[in-house]
Amino acid sequence: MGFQINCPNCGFRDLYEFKFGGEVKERPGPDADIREWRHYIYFHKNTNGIHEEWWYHTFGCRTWIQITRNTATHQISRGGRE
Amino acid sequence: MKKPFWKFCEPKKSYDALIIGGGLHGMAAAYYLARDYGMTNLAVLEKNRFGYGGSSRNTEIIRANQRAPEILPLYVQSIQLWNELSAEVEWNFMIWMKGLIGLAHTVAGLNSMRMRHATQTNLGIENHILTPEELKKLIPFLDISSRAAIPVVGGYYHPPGGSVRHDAAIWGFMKGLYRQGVHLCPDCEVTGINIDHGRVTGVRAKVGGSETTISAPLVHMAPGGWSSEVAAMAGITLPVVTLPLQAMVTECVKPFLNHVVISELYFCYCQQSIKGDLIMGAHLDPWQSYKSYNTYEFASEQAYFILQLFPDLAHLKLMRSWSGLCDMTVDGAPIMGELPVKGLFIDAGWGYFGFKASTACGKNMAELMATGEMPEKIRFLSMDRFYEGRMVPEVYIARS
Amino acid sequence: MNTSTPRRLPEISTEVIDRSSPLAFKYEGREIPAFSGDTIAGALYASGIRIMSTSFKYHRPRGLFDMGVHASEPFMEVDGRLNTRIARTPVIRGMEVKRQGSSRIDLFKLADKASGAMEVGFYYKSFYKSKALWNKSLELMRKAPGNLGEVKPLSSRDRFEAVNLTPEVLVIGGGAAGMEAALQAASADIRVVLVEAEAWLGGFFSFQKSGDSRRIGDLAAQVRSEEKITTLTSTTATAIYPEGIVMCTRICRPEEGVFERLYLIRPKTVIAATGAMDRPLIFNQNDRPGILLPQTAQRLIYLYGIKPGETALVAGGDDQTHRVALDLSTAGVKVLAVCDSRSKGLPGTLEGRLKEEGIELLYGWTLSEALGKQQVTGAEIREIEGAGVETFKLDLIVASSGRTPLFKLLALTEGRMVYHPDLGFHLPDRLPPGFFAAGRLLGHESVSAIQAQGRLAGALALAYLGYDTGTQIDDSRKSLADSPPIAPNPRRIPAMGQKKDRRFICLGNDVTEKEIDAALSEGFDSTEMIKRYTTATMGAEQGALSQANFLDYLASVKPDTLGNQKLFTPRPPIVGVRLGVLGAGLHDLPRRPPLHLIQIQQGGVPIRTGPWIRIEHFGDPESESLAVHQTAGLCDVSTLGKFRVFGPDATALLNFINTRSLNRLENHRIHYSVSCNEEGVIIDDGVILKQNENDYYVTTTTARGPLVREWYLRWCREFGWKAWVVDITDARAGMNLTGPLSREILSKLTSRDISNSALPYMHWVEADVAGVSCLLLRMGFMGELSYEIHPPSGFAEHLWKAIISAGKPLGLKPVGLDGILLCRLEKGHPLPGLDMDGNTTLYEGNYGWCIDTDRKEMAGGPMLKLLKGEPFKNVVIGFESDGRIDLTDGDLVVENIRRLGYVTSVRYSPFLGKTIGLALVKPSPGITPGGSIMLQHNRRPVRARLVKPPFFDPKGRRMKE
Repeated sequence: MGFQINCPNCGFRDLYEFKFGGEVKERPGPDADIREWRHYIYFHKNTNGIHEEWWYHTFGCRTWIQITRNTATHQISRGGRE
Repeated sequence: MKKPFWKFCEPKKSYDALIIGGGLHGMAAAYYLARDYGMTNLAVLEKNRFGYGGSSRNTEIIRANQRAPEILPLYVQSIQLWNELSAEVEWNFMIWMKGLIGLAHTVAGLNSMRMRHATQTNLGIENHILTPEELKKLIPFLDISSRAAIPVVGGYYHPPGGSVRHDAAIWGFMKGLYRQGVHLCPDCEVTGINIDHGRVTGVRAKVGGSETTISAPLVHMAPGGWSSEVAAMAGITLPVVTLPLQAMVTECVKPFLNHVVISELYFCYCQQSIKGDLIMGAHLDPWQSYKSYNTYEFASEQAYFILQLFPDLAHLKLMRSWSGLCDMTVDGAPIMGELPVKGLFIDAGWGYFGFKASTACGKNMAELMATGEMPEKIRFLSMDRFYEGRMVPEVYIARS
Repeated sequence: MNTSTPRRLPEISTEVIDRSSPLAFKYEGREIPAFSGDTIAGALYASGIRIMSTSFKYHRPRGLFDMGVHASEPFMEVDGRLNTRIARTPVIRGMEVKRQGSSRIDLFKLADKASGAMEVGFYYKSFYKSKALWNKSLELMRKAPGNLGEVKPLSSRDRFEAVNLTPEVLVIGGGAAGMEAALQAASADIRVVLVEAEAWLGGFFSFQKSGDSRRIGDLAAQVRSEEKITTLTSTTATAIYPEGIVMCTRICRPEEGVFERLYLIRPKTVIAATGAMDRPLIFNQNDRPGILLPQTAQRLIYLYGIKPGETALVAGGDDQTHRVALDLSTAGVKVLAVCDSRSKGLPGTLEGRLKEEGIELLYGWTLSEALGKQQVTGAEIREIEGAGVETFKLDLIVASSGRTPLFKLLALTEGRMVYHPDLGFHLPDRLPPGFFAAGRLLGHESVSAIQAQGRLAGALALAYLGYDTGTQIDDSRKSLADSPPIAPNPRRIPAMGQKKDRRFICLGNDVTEKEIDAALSEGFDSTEMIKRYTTATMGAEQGALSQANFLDYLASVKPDTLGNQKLFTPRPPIVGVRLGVLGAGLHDLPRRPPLHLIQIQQGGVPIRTGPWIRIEHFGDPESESLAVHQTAGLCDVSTLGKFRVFGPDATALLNFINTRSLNRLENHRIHYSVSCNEEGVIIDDGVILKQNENDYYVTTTTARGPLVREWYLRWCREFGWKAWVVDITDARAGMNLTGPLSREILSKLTSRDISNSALPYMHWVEADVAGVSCLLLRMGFMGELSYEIHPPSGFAEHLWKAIISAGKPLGLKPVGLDGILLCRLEKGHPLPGLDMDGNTTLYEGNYGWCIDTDRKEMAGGPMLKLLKGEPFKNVVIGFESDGRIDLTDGDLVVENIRRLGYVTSVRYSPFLGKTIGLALVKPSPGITPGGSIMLQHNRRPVRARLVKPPFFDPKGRRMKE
């Protein structure tokens, strides 16, 4: 019944047990300048829709997981991959 | 039949300037463009109804007690402008300068208040540090006993804080805009921003089921929680994440609380409206979401926190909760200014404090758009600061 | 004054009161007789009290109107508890019930007489010229509402509690449909919870006179005896939350010792069988006391044995109206007429029975106005398509305009509620997976259809859970197919009698048709805006009673734009929930370190810091800090985060996060290091010990332990490193023995050689101290010779006692948090989050020395490299002034009057005889070591010398020797 993340270790758990870790991003390469680094750190696509993102199971097994979630509906299409 | 305060219309083919977003920020910008610069050939394009977003989903608080000294003058100006609007528009915005009280529950919290107190005093903003006993005099139902899990150790009183009736503000601006001949276009979704050689030329918008082009040399984006989506139409990524903010309200009771009260430890705030209900809010849900929702987690936490402050409210009943979307920057300060596209402006990243600042934001954005000069009060808020490491010190904890 | 006192009826089998248990309670100084099982409002009504409250805006008299689950008003204060819904609250012997609102002479009553002055949006359109006038009227406006409770200091705190339930099936509603559904679900031998808002099972049919009541009683008995069904009566489902929680509340009986209980139910599947309520009929003065909804009249008769009135008129437009007329007549009420807005009834109706009872049935007629100044004394009826007008003298009007299915709860899910123009009400449509509905909620009225539907919902829920219930599904579908069709609500009746300002669409907030008309003509063109402007549907009933009529009215006035009858976004909860019970699931559970009790015994003063309770001081923080410098001090540092980081990639992980390189960390060396985020800002600091190859002991600050672990694991996951981070904060205690005599004291307790050569500064060993195997770390942050001792938590208290008794003769003192913080300030050690904010880079915080650059990659590495040449935007500075100066954390640093920054930590150091501090400031030419800065304390200027921390022993000789 929605609003739950399927943790690979703990099963379906309340969103509130997790910490949102932001969108999955690629760290800039070795030659990146400070502007590129700051773009990477502070700027976000902030997608309204399908979103690849990090979550951390703070009040559970404390695993970081990546899930695919629709930020417009909270539907999780890929969750709990270790 | 009474005379309508406003009439809506479909947009024309071209304007001197377009405002995207019929919330308080967008309407305020249009209002001051018309009032101060005589620019009345304007349209405010709103995807939904006017005041649909954060403008009607807030806790109605105004204040000028932020942490960063840079940004305080903007909030001071906002309060001043709020107070002028009723007479100007001939519409009661229901400004209630009731004063705002912050509560500290730890010595460290109190010290942080002292810093803000001193900073505000330094800028001529009234603010007083109070003992628990002084707080109790202002808030008779506040529990200052040691019975509380984390007792109150002190607080501050900020008389320039208060509330504005949010619906009154929305309607007041609508009335003010209509009177000046600005076009109010609801159900008008902007789908694209037209740019030619680095210069904005107008927007594409859905009007009555079909897409049309509306041209204008100046386009201002004030889309609240949807700022990233609108900016993306111009190929611009913003340093914001859209987070949901929940709030809730109780049933009405006789007046018992005469101030806005904020507990900094529990991070919850409340105030009793003129009607008598207790409006409560808290922190953002810390995840990206374009969906509005309400959760048990929020409601129960909020109830628990409020009862830590006011145990005598145990039988007061929660009546409804709501939520809105907040586009939040990492430094907790907004983004205002012209974007890398000439003629394209933005007023975004207002997180959960956009309501109180909307008047001054409109005023300064209007000045920028009309004169091309960045006003002093918002100079430090341009998006470039994130590339230049000039963060506004609203947040004191390292990000991880 | 009409004093017709309704009497109790003879005992009936359906009643829920216990006539063998009479009691009395106090109401406004009167004794009111009642029976156990009565509601307060019912008992008052039985005693002839019709006027029970005053309306919100116009201060009109109001009385009992609705008794269903959504009945909010009238409110009264009951035993000091404000805004109690008396129509829903059982009586208790001796309870004290008081009216709310003002009984004093009331200027606002004039508002009703001259409602023009209180037209819609009155306040928006007034007082905008003069602030002074507005401020005055604002205070009047706050006091204006007529029915509000008063917050009062509670003499005793009621207990609230929260209970979690996780059944397979939750059935909401214990009527015919819900009971059938529950029994069907329980047949699969799974856990079923059935919640019912009333104190009894049976729902609507428990107060219908039809021959089915016997069958309903049997069903209830069956449900009660079914072991798999947990039946929670008097329990109201108030919200469905997206976490999968159905929130229910239950007012407990006095003997339970708990006032109200919250049930947090997380079912696998939900069957909603919430029923339907009567929809109010709108007519002139439709809010007068003495007007009842049909179900309310039936409840009074069949559940409480109360005769609702002496002479009545019944109005509506469906068969239910006829049934109620018969019920009234049977109860001895003289029914003068039934106005039925239909032109004729459907076949098979109750016309014949009405005729037998001598009740006049008027098709094509409607009720146009209730007469009576305070309460109903008469009624005016009119012919809908004609000129007929008649008036009656009477004391009771029972009226409705059909029904409204109770979909509000389901509307909180992703399901949609769709308006059916042919039926005239909304029905649930496309419910989310796992949600099912049955009964009057779906529009049905025949008991057989409702029962079949209940069985069907139960079978569908079982199928959803994976059970094969194909046969049951088919069977119940078959019986459902034979049921009569869903009867529509009556058509809208045009306003009669031209009193739009007395036709109340919303009783809760006193909103009339006239006000809605005004809003429309003023430019408010969407339902949401009209709702907000008029406040219709926003009263205590939250639209339960009024939304249908509000939408219907808008649709009738503006069919083109507002004809779609779109419901408002539902806002949980659907029924008001006390803050006390809402927050009952949360508890404050602070952490206490293993040395908590012994320190309290020794005079320690506790202080709450985040999740921990620590010791602030032992009476005299300054002398504690002096002991550190002159003899020795013992500090509890058990709250520091302690982690074992191990695994093949442990070194790689730590190297990636910490600024110090572990490549040269030899065994028994201690590394002080900071962890850094990608911005080059310090997250935390602590030490790293190498216990074995790829096996480290890592400490963090108290506050940041959990965050640091999260940060470690994040990068572990990113790179797929095999390294494990195990929290041993609770497993190991920590105490810091510090001061010039610390070695002497410690020597008494260990046979280990702890001389400077055997255990030099920033080295560690495993050693037995007072018989306990500990980690012994030669380190500290307080500037003196010190040893940090980390024993297993279970031995912490023993060790503490041993050290204290060994050291006491030498002047050892226990030191609290105040002393610790003072000593670290003397050492000039800035704390992240206090002396540095979230934008202060490592360089700006004077931590530049702490970076080893011999590694390829580090989380904050690239930015630290890029930031190296950047000008500072902030800087942490130290300052001092002789003697004890009045300064506090948070004082400003100014240049002329311009704010440069602020004092982050300042203390008087008795050891140094100076006031010392750190500040976070913007760089300025005036800020140079050896120079001076201007501080502001309570707006008074204070000059201080700029010094480069530490404030004493810059070479650290005292620590190192």
